[in-house]
This record gives sequence, structure tokens and C-alpha cells, in this order.
Amino acid sequence: MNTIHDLGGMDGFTLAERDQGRILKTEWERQIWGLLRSLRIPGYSTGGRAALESMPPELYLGLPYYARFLWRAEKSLIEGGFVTEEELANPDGPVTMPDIPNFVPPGPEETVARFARDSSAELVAEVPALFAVGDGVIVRNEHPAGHTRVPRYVRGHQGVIHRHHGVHHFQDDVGGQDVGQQHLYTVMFTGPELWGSRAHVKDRIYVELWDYHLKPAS
Amino acid sequence: MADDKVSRREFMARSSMAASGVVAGAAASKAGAQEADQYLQSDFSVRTKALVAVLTKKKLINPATMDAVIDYYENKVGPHIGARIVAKSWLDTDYRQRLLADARAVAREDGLTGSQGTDLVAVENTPQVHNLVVCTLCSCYPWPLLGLPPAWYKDTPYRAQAVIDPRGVLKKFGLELADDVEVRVWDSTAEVRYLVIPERPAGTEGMSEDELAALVTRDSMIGAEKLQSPA
Repeated sequence: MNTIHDLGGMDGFTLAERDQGRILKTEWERQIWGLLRSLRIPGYSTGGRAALESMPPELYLGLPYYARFLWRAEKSLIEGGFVTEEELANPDGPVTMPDIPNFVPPGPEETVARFARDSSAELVAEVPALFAVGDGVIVRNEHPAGHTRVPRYVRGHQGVIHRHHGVHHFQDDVGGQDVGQQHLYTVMFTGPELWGSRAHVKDRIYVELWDYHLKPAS
Repeated sequence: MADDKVSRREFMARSSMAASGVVAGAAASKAGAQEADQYLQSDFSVRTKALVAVLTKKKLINPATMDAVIDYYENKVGPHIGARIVAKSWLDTDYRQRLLADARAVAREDGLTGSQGTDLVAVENTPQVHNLVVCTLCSCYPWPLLGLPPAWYKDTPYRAQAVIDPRGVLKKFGLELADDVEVRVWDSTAEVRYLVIPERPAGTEGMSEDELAALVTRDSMIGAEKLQSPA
């Protein structure tokens, strides 16, 4: 979706100095991160990146980074029926106990062990690759209403396959079509191809794209 | 105060209009602005406490797990891990070559294949090539090697500008690159995570792996700075 999260190439923001020191700077940021990475309720989903991308743009720009996750957690837990707005507005008041048979929230060891587990997204699948390293490609100029991994700034532009990453789950929401498992590539674009005369001729931008996003350049 | 609120709301609305394709009709925009304004006024600390309290009471979360998670991200993973890989790559040419050819395989050998880091690619800075990593769509970052990303990496200005004006960004960060240097910007918005191997600074000959690792900064492994020679 063409929302505010797709920031590449936008002017007008003022770059701040690079901060050092603690990443989780306040107690609520520590708590929200701890919560986010601990939640494993059967049937619950945060909504992932698509949920963050559906945030009103005013909110996306105005909220501190971790408050976006707080907003998403509240929204997804309410929509999933796990908590109610009333309960959150009055946390010392009564709550309705959830009816999730045999559910015990995962403990510390189990949770931390899961973080260290191999998380490769590459799949073992017999799917033909449409492109090879060195091939010229053009990014399809599509503007899907749902989640996509194609930043607006590369759509319609020509690049070269730089690296092949094997088969991965296709992550875009293309209106219910099943496009399943596909080859993933890093595609190289020159600065001038993407940004015209403003770019430095020796700038190169690399973006990961799937077979579905690409067509041959010739 | 009321004036402040109005002007900020207007400012936010205007900022968002700057993004082509964002405007979804005046009515929706007004409702969005109101929702946004309300939420922006709220106390995130109070909201977080309420959410944690309710989930704990409902036995949907284990508070001890939250503590362990925070400890893991604050103390267990972090740039010290990436720094060790960089130092090793400076000392061991064979390791460096394997890292550049297939960083994922090397990460697997080292047991560094946890969440947000497995499909790893390493890129090296040289006098002719400077690499910079960004995630324009969200905040993708190699957690097992560098921990959580710093605020500047996740904030809108860096995400907006790194792909269109990497040299300008680096200049503001204090690094001016010569015109003949090729700049490679890696927009890691999908499945792959990147580690920049910075150039080994002069004056470090004869140093041990530990000594070298201590010189490697987090930001150098994102490409935001060059490493200085030890004083």
C-alpha cells in the first residue's frame, strides 16, 4: 500500500545526530518490547508490517518508534477479542478471563531459546527461477492496496540481478492470489536510473525483489 | 495549548500530504488526524502499564518472560557480536572470503542464526567502495549480530534520505567521501540482512582479535562511519 511508511527518497525531514547508548531508552519502551517479543497466544497475530502500514499517516509520523508497536498491540489484541477497550481504560478493574484451553504463556527459557533458533526464510522448493545474476530487469509498476515489499521508488525502473537468494515465501498481499513460493534476488539500480540528474553517478542502490515483481528488461 | 495542538495537527497533515499517493480523501484524512491527535496526546507509559497489567491478570503473558526478553535484547545480543566477526575477518583472509561469499553459512557455524539475522549478506568497505545499510519500509536489521537498531536508523529522516542522497547523509554524519568512491546502499526491506565490514584502520598492525574487536563500532557495521586509528 502506498502509505507513509514507504519513505525512500522523500525530502523535507531533518536528519538528527546519531544517538549512542541504550536502545530502549525509557522503561515503557523496554516493557513494550518485552511484551511484543513474549506474546504467543494461540490465534493471535499482531498483523505484522501490514498493520503498522495501515496506521494513519499523522500517527505514523508523530509517534515514537516503540509507540507504533504499542498502538499495534492494543489494536490487534482488541480486534482479536483478547482484551477490551474498557479493560485497558481501567486496568485495576475486573477482567473477563479468556477461554483458551490448556494455554500457559511461554516461560523465559523457552522464549529466549526460540530467538536463537535458525530463522532462515529460504525454502526448499522445486520452483524454476525466472532470472539469473547479470540479467537486466524492470520492476513491474504495480501499486497494490495491500502489503508489498516493493518500495515506490523502484517501480517501473530498470536494474540488474546482483544476487540470487533461492526460494522464499512471497510476502506481498496481492488480493488473495496465491503466488506462493518464489525466487528472491537482490537487484542493483544506479542512482541516476532512480533519481535522475540529482543522483551521483557512482551511487548504487540494492533492493530485494521476487520473481513476481520483475520482468525482463529487453 | 489548544493553538499548539491545532498547529501541530495541521503540520502533520501537511507533512503527510507531501507523500504522493497518501491522500485518501478529506473526510478520512480528518478522522485520521483526530485519531492521531488523541493518541499522540496520550501517556505511553500509562498505556503500556495498563496493557501489561491486563494481559498479566488474564494470564496471557508471563512477566518473568518479559524480563528475560528485555535482558536478552539489552545484554545478550549487541554490536559486540558483529565486532568479533569483523575483527576475525581482518585477521583471517580465508574467513573473510567465506564471509563475503556466504555469510549465512559462516553465521550458522558461529551459531548466530536467530531471529532477523539468518539470511545474512556481508559487504566490505574498501578505499573505492563504501556500503551503507537502510530499511526504507520499516526497520530491518541483523539482530543476532548487532542487537536492536539505534533510533537514528529507524527514524524517518534516515529512511527517507539514505537511498536518494547517501553522500549527503554520510556528510552530515561526519564522513565526506571522495567523488570517485562508489556508494552502495542496501535497502534491506525484505528477507536479507546486511553486515558492513568496515576498513581496518591504520595503526592496528599486530593487534589481537580482542583488541581489534574493541575498535569496531556499531555504526561502522551499518556503514554510517569509518573507523579511526587508535590514539
